[in-house]
Amino acid sequence: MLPYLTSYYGNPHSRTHAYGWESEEAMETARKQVADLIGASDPREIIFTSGATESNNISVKGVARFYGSRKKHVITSATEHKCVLDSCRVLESEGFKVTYLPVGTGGLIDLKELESLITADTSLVSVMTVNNEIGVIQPIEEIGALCRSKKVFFHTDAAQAVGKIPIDVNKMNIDLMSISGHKIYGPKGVGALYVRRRPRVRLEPIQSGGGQERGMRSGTVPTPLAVGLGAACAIAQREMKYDHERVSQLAKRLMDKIYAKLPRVVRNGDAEKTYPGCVNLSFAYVEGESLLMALKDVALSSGSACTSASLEPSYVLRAIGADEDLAHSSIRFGFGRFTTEEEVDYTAERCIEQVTRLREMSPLWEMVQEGVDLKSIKWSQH
Amino acid sequence: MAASKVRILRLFKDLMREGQKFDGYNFRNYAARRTRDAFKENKQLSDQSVIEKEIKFGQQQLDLIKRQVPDFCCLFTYSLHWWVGPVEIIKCSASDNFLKHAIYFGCNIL
Repeated sequence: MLPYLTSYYGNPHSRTHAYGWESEEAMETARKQVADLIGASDPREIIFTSGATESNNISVKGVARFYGSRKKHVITSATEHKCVLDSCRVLESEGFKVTYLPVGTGGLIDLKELESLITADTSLVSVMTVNNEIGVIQPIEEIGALCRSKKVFFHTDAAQAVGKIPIDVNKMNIDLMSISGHKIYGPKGVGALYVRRRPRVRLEPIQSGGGQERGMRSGTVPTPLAVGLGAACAIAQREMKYDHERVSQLAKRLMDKIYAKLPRVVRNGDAEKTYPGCVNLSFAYVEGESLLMALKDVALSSGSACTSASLEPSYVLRAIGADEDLAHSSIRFGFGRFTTEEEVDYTAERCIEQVTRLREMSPLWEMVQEGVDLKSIKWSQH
Repeated sequence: MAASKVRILRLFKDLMREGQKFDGYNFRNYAARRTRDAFKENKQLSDQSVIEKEIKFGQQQLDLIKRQVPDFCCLFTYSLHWWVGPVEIIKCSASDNFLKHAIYFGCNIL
């Protein structure tokens, strides 16, 4: 990245001089690296954006609007990232019909239900690969095959999946896919969008301008960031197996420690079809936010970073049917390439200590210990 | 073969030592773990061309680490230039930690 911030300063879209060419070459190499990671057959199918949020916006709004004159229906799932859900809200205000597919208790969608919802009016199905809050992996390959057979475009938000689990856009019949830079140890402020060329996916661009990136995302590509994203993709491809093993081991270590010491801990989301780097636990009878306050020196959150400022329980947890009290008491543990065993041990110890302390203070916990069924209590209204 | 063994050991040592110079605890830790695991994994390699390839890769990683960790020598020569004008650049061997630290403190006094 560094040389492209200092010495090689040409605009990658300048075709008239050598300064532009060297930047363009670096950008094209990066494009190839991204394409290789996701199994895209042509690097031209990769479009650089400012991040997964923009990629999601371009795909959801772009495809729906382009085919809007003939098809007015979009399907998405209830546990999608905020940017997909909000893009769908915008579409609704423009007169589109949006179906929010409910998920089961494990957080997975029901394929039969999806099949029954797809109509001749449906233009796009958008389901995320790995959920950002509970880490469940949706059956992307099956959804892709279903959408292809019904001739509906399939978009997936794979921001937390790319570089972490094997993804092949051709095998999985993915038509559009969003990729984020900083989630694969690349720079922030850059992302990519995969847009299939055969069969061709067409979309209405959100940004108008110079027609860069095949006209789908006008604006100069930030060469240093694109180079960083490309390098991160190349490393992710090389290290995927090693990192995955490591992350699984750390997640197991944390859960074993916590389960051994604390009763009534529930893991949110399907235990089998999940990415181990994201573990969402609910500690019954403990308020999640107070636990986070007590664990200030550990970088944890109760939901996604985007919603971490609000005290509302996560909509993802409510969508999987978690009880209100369990949704309030959830904490998300993230593991990455650079997480160490000591950090995991420290987190587990502190967590056990603080949960025990908070439970000791809690009158609810005391009642549970005495064998009172909390659900049977009629609380007086004040 | 024997020469190759020495080379591999040297590379391992260099990687381990340079990796410990990262400022961040997580990166220091990762560098040591990744180096150890990679050498362990490649231990049973027998094909010379594959071994050569891995050594080359290791060398690249070593260069990468060297580029990212703070270099005291560099600091010293720059300070010296600033202080006494262009003088002959004193080069110290990268492995000589003692000398490096001495120079570093030396430039602090300057």
